[in-house]
Amino acid sequence: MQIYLPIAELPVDVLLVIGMSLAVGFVSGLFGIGGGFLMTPLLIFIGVPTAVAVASEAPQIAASAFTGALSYWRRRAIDLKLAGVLLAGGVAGTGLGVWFFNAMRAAGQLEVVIAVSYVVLLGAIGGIMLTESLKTLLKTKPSAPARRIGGRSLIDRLPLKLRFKQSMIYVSAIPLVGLGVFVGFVGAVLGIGGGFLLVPVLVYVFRVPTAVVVGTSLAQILITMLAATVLHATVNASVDVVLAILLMLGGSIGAQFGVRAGQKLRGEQLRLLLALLLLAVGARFLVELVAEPAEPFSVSTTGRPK
Amino acid sequence: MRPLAALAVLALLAAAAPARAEKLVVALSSQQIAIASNYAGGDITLFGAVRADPESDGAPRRYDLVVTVRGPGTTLEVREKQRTAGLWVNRERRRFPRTPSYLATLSTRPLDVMLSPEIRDGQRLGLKAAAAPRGEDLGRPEFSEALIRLQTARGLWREEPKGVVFLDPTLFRTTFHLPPNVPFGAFEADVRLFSAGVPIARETITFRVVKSGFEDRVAALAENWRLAYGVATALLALAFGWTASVAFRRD
Repeated sequence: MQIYLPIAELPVDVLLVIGMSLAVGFVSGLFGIGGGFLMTPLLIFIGVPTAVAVASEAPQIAASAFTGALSYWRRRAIDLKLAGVLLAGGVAGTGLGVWFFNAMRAAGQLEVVIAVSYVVLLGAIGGIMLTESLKTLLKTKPSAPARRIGGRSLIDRLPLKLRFKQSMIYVSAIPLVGLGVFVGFVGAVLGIGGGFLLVPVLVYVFRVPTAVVVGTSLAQILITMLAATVLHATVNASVDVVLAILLMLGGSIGAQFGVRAGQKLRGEQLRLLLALLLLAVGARFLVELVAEPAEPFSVSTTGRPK
Repeated sequence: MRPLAALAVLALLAAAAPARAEKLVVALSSQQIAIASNYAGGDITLFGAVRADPESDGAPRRYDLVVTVRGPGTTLEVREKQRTAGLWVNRERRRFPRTPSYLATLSTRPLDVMLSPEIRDGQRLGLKAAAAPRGEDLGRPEFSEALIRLQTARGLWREEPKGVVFLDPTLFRTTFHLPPNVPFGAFEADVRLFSAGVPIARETITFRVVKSGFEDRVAALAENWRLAYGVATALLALAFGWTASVAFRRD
């Protein structure tokens, strides 16, 4: 069953797109991640223009982040003050990201920027998570307290310190705003929520307790992705609402099954699986970058047909 | 300049052969193609007849036809990936301004068989002419070849050397396909009649490809009411997220 996407300007198979978003929704519910880093490449793969894929994925991430954030909100597991400080940077980062996205698209380098970023980000986060989870699994002891990553003392010495009661941390606002800028920027350029970046940094660098970290990160992702939706729509006119609805439908249902499956697995097992998944997607992009392409040429329309 | 030059050539030819003035009559199976949500490509048939000059008394001539269907003109950019520091990155690029986004060249016989290279290039017939390098930078021919190859692979350009058939000595028909990714706007079917390699008549007919109903309204909203469209999409996302949270609530 085909449906025509009015902004992407191509027909897609409804069942294929819903099936893909169900699968990605399952994975996102399983690991508590947005799944943008899986969905955006899949959309590009089935022929959706990169710009439309990235922009239309934003409302889907916002929807799934809102579902998650509501359930954490009911449990009072969101540090609103921390989310607010992250957001101050996040919205600015999103604006920068949308602008950068446009500039790279005009220069014809958007695809390679996205591919390199995926390789670096997914490779780095996946690699760290893989070693951490393997260590924990091999020890088979209750996980050791997370070690402090270098630079902590520097972060401690920065001014503008704020106390976050719910997260039980006392830390300068500067690195938090910086983190928000970075995640917002990356999210807007890559069409991802950035939860897989935000959560480890908050846990390992800022030592935010696990109980509040996910809810807080979801609240931050929700607002940045809402901002990304509005910005992509106003700057690039590249949000396809029909595609977004298909993604939200499949994603929200798939996530429910993922959450149930996730409760049957242990934390270390989940982290190992997620690490392998991140590395696999990163490797897929790496192959694309280094392997000689069968068709080195590509064609694109630079002016709208009049 | 080019249409003027072509007109001048036609005028000269007309002056040289005043006794033989054929006329073309053409019609399309549809004037407007509306792209609805279930659009998966479609065919358009062009019918036509050659009206021989009633004054002429010579034996019937053998005719050749070239039908060129052009979509809205646009600037196409061809990029070439080259290995840079181990990575395959877009490096060189060539622009092809004022190039048809959709192009079908249908003829009774292969163009190189029925026309001399001068006439073919002078009248800019065929995919090669449309992808010819522009301006002072003639570029490498690979870019023109790649443009033809890629546009053909996307179903947007095609050449059918036997796509036009004569049903009887004067009546002809051809069918061209509009792919699902067809661009929108004004299309033109340009029908040229040749005899013994010489152009003797020309007729053009236009049709439009438009987004229909819902698709058109969504696209217009996204383009003209950008902020409202973005805010509405964001609100929709919130509504979806909230519905999912209520529907699947387990605590």
